[in-house]
Order: sequence, then C-alpha cells, then structure tokens
Amino acid sequence: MLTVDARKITHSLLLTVDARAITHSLLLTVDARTITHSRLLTIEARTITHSLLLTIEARTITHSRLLTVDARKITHSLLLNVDARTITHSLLLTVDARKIAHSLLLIVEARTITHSLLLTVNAHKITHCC
Amino acid sequence: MHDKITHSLLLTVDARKITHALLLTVEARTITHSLLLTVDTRTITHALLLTVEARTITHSLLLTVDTRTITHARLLTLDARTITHTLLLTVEARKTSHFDA
Repeated sequence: MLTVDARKITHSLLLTVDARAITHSLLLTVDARTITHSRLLTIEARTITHSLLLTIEARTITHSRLLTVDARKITHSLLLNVDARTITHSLLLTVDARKIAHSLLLIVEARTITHSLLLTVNAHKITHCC
Repeated sequence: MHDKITHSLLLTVDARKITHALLLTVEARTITHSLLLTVDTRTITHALLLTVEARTITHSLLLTVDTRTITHARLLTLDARTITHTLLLTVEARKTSHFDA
C-alpha cells in the first residue's frame, strides 16, 4: 500500500488503515536512515490474514512507536519485521486482538536495543504462534 | 520540478471504479501543509494512485482513500529526504487484499 524511501522521518504518522478484512497484503515498507518521534502504522481491522503489515530497514530508530494493531482475528500473518542498527526509547509493536493463530508477530534484527519495549499483546486466545 | 507546494489540494477523484491507473505524480523540493490527493471510490484494482518525489515534506497529509475494496494495488510510493510532522496515507476500506508494496 505504501512504500517510503527517506533519509529522515520525524514526528510523523505514515499510515493509518481502517478496514474490515486485510488479506495477502503488505501495508507499509520503510527504508530510512533515521526514524525519530514517529508512529509509523496504526491498523484497525476485523480480520487480518496472510499478511505482512510492516517491514522497516533503518539505521536508527528512536522515540518511536512502530506498529499498533487493533483487530478481532489475526491468522497466518507476520506483523512486523525490523532490521536496524540501533533502537532506543521505542515501542515496536502493540497488538490488541481476540484471537491470534498461526502467526509470527515480530522479527527484530538489531545491533543495539536500549530503553525499548518490543512487544505488548492483549488477546483472549493465542494458538500456534512463535 | 516545482519548487514549493504549500497549502494545496492538487486532485480529488470521485469515481465508481479505478483500475490500472496512476492518478497523480508530484515532483517538488518542498511540500508543506498540503493534501495532494483524495480518492472516493468503490473499487480500486491494479492501481498506483500517487507517486511523490520530494526533498522535504512537512505538516502534510499526502493521500486519503475511502473505498470498499482494494486489490492488487500500491497506493502511494514516496521518495524523500526528510519527512516531518506528516501523515502520509489514510485508508478507509472494507476489504484490502493482495497488496504488493
């Protein structure tokens, strides 16, 4: 849906999606040097299936909230994939869902992670996830 | 190339169906306080709605989309140096599927 190639992203909200069903979709890819004080993607949906929501390649991510997902059902999805050198003072992923199944929520590849909260999940039922 | 785009709404589209379309391309040094494209439609398929190449984008919302179904679409591609205080894309839809970004 959205691809962003930038040097610096600050104090920005890149994408908001309000949908019933999201299937087989890659919503946002970001390639940037620096991401600061930004909230990249927020999603409100009933169903998310077979989707990769957000991929990020960056040198530095600071004071940012990368992805928030509010959904009823999430299946067969990878929510967030982050490849960065340094992550500081950031909250990578928050998920609020009833049911999460057959999904991989977060992949992070980084050299340094400090003062950060990588993942918060609030769900009724979680099955077959890693 | 435009030098500066400020306080601008470049294009609004109200259509039933959008297929195989590129609605708007923008090349500018600076984009500030602007909403470039608004789209109100039922169906979007095989479309790239907006491409933007800019040095600096500040205090802008580039694209808003209100639709029922989006399939096989890439709505916005952006090449920029600095993006600040900006919301790039808002999408309101019933169903989104088969996006390639």
